[in-house]
Amino acid sequence: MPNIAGLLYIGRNALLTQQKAIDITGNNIANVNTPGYSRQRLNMEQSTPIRDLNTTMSTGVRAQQKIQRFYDQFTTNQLNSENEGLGRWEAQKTALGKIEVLFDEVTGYGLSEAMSGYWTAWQDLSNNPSGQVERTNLLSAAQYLTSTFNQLSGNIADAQSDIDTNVVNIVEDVNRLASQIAELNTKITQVEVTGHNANDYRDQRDSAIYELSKLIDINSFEDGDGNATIMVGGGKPLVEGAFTWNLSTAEDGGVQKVYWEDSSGTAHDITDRIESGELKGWMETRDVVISDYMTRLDTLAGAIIQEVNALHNDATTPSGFGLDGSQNDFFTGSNAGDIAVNSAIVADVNLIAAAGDAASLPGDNSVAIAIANLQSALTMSGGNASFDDYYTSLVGDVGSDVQTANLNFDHQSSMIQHLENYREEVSGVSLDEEMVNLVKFQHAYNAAARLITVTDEMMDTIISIAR
Amino acid sequence: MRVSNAMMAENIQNYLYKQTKALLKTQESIASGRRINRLSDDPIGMGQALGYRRTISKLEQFNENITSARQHLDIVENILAAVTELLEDTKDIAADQAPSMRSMMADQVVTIRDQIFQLANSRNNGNYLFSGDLTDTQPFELDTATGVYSYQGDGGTKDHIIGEGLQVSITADGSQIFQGEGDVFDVLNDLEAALRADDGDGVTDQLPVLSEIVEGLNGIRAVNAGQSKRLEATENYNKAFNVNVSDLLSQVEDTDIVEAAINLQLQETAYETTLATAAKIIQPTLMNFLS
Repeated sequence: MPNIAGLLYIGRNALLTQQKAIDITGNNIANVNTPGYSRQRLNMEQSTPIRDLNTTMSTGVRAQQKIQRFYDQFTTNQLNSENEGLGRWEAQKTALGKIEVLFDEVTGYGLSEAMSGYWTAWQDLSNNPSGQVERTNLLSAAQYLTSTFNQLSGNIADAQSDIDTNVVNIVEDVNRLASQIAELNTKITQVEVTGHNANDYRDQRDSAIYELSKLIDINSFEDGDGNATIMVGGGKPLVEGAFTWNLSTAEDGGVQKVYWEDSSGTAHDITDRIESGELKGWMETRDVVISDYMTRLDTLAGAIIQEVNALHNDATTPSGFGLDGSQNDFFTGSNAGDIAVNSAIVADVNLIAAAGDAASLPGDNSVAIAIANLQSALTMSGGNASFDDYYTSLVGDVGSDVQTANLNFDHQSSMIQHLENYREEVSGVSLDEEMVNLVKFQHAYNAAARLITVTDEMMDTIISIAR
Repeated sequence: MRVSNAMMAENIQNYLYKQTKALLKTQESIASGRRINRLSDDPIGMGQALGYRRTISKLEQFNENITSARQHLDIVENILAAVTELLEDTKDIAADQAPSMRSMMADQVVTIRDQIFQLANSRNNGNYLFSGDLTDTQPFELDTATGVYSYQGDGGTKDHIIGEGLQVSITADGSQIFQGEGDVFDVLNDLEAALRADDGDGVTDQLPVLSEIVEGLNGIRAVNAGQSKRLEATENYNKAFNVNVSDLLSQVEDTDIVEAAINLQLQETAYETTLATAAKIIQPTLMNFLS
């Protein structure tokens, strides 16, 4: 037998459910611009009717306790792994972009011009070996060359130590995010064990993991309880349930390296096990790419020092005599950082040796000619390249490396954009859709209210029967 | 496929970013006049540009060296021409059969000898021209007691780099020039002595020696002239080569303004179209239509 009170019950359920649905819709609308938000939906189901001997009495609608969260695990995993690549190439692009500017070849004031100026100054000297003007000019060209080398070398070294600062900061961020994730793990398990949903915490945790994946490459998966486990550096745990392990940095061989601290506090070096993410980008640039540039620059400087001094101060077959008959090295130092003109020559340009034989002073210019001809001599790469060729290939490599980093970064950005679109397809809020839902639920709410009014009138009628 | 508001906004921003990035690059190449504004724009082109710049700098330096060498040759030529003329005058004196003014002719020979002595000790830019490598030492010294002229220099040549692996050597050995085929000072001394002694045979004996000396000088002048011609030809070749390389450098380095302007136009149009469509897409929502 239908029960009039049951009608009220149906109306009440309907009102509350539609109201709850509007509440969820309102939440979606409010969070339309929240990054990382996944839209939610109230799922309604018909509540179990009461069945007795003769009739079935419907009980209306019921909202499911767990609010549905629209979420694609696969896309999220893909996003995380592509984000690692993005972080890596972004870091490399930034670091190399700074290095590229140091080789000021585009405007023509770089090392190439300095070297050219040095060799032509020797040719000028060969035209007038005893001339004071030519000697002073040669000295200043040489000093320009050495200071360009020193500056370039110093700037590259500075860039390397700047990277160290970044590495330290990133490791701090990783630790911060790890503890955030662990905290969220606790909250999520606490809420979900009671049968409710922890959609907001899950969104926050996904955001934290996404941010973390840009910094360092991770393996993440969720266990049955809803805890996310994060592993880094080839299988070392970073977050497991509510527990975190720390990463730390320490100096080793002049650079900062990354360590993982285990439960007993021992630090393990995981620098080489990091495969992707910003950390990899910074450290690879610092340890492989930039140090290669430094080595090549040092080799070039060292070769110039050696070859010039060999002619300028030849001890075995005595050659290279200054105007006063003395033999001196032209350059001091051994690499790009400490190459300098011999201070004795700086003090007295007459010590510059243009003559090859002490008996032929001051008109002989055989040493000056020989040194000037070093410009085209095949002195580098085992006798296959000249100084200029060697330097040009270094500059070309710098340009190519930057180009590669740029291309990879653009590619990764493009991938991320596509994946973001996929994610938005599933999880994003569309205001138009929410508007329609709002209208829909509002109508249902109005209808339910109307039902209650009708029930109320029916009850009045019944009561007035008995009066 | 669902489309969310965040997706639309994000996509529009990305497209606009791409457009402005391309616009900025074109603008940079027009403003700087260079196609390559950083090493990564074109690493291979940059390498080529560096090579061309180096070549141009070398060619300019070679021509500077050539100028210095030619200047030297010109001065030497002037001096040797003057000496040759003086020796021709001496030959006239030696050939003169009239014995009347022999003491005056002797004085003339002394003057000529002193002049040649001065010319042989000429300097250019503070350096002696005929001392070989000992350019701070006077080539010929006169011992006033004995009247002997001795050579103080050495046998070095003046070398210049005129091209890639190319050198030119200019004779600077005073003893070879002035005392080679015959010692010019000795001849003049002997001629003076013969004139003063009124020795007719002694005077005419000097004629063949003088001729040999003049021939020797002409030989050296011919060699120098040949070198000067070679230097001129090399200089012209270097200049022509320089023009070619400069052209190549410009092709690699410089912006093609026409192409860049057209690109700029196309990119501007694309950018404005993107902006217009973005405005059309992003604004209307269902709320505008619900009353």
